[in-house]
Amino acid sequence: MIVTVEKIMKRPVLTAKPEDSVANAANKMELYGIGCLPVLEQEVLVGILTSRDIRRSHPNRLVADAMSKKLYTIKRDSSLWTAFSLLREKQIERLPVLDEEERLIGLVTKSNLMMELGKYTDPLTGLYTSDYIRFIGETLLKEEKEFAILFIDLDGFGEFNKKHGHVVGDKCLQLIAETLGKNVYPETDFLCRYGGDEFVFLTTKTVEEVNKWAVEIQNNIQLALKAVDLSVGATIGIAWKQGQHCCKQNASWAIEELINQASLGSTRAKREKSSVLFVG
Amino acid sequence: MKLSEFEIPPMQDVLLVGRKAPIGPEAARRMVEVLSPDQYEVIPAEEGPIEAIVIRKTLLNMLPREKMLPVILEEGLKVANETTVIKAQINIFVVVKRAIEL
Repeated sequence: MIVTVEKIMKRPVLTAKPEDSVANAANKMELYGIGCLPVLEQEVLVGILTSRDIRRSHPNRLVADAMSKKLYTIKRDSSLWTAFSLLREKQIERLPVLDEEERLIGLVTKSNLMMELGKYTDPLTGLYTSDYIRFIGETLLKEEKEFAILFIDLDGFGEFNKKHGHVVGDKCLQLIAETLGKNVYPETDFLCRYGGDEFVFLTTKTVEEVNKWAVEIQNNIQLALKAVDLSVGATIGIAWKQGQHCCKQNASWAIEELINQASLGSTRAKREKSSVLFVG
Repeated sequence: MKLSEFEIPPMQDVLLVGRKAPIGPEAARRMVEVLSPDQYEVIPAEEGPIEAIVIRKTLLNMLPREKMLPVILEEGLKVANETTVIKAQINIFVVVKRAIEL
């Protein structure tokens, strides 16, 4: 289940009216220790007044003459990553959250989003956790785009840990995560640490590109480990988004199904002594 | 004691609203709308120290705005800056010359 902005937004939201004075709004912001006031006119969001707007404006002005009228908002059911991408893209600090009737119901700030997103980052490798891939997958499914899931499972990592110790095991995972990170093309690929010794790529590359890329990934892992005198194999199961998964309404179920297929693919590949296996 | 009549609205033909002036275009718009409904237009300026020009609509009926606004800004900026609100009076003289066949 993807975390939505509604779960983390701040509410109730203090607001200003367009006919309020800037001085009045500034006092309100100072009193409550807040950095912005959404501006409502008859319950409709018409602007946002930030501390930067206040610094730039004469205190006698109306809020309507000082507020930023260019508004970026987000819907209550949007994911944290959607909100964060919007904040980053528009280089803003806060987003008013609207309900289905376009009414203001909350506010999310960059700092509380970052704090929340930190929970979806794996502390050992610095990669996102599986919720990130679920979010990207659901978004692409809703947009009816094609993609592949690569489920990378390290071979005999339990034995590796027993042989070298967990500290070396952790360093090995960090090195693999770093290596996998170098294989990411931001336009097409998304990566997460799925579980203990499992990593998942979601990519919008073509089938031919994915085939070639999977072999490259395996080679790169081997080379990186060899450089530090270690050796662990990696098996990759690949699931391709096909017609039956193109269900916009059930994107959440469909992405789980794809990840599962890719995971089963990697298990089968191990059984069949194959390094890469395409399923679906 | 000095007595004088209060002008309604307290401006003449044009108001040049500076970007950091104590009143902004929205306040000016509300003022003219309340005191002289439908008689003025507020034209925002994209850049420069002037944020908006509040102008009597009849002037725009006499001269096209693309001719009028550059003149107002050019002359107004000799006096106005981003902190001021300057009112201006504009007199337009139309000279008509016509030859008549007798």
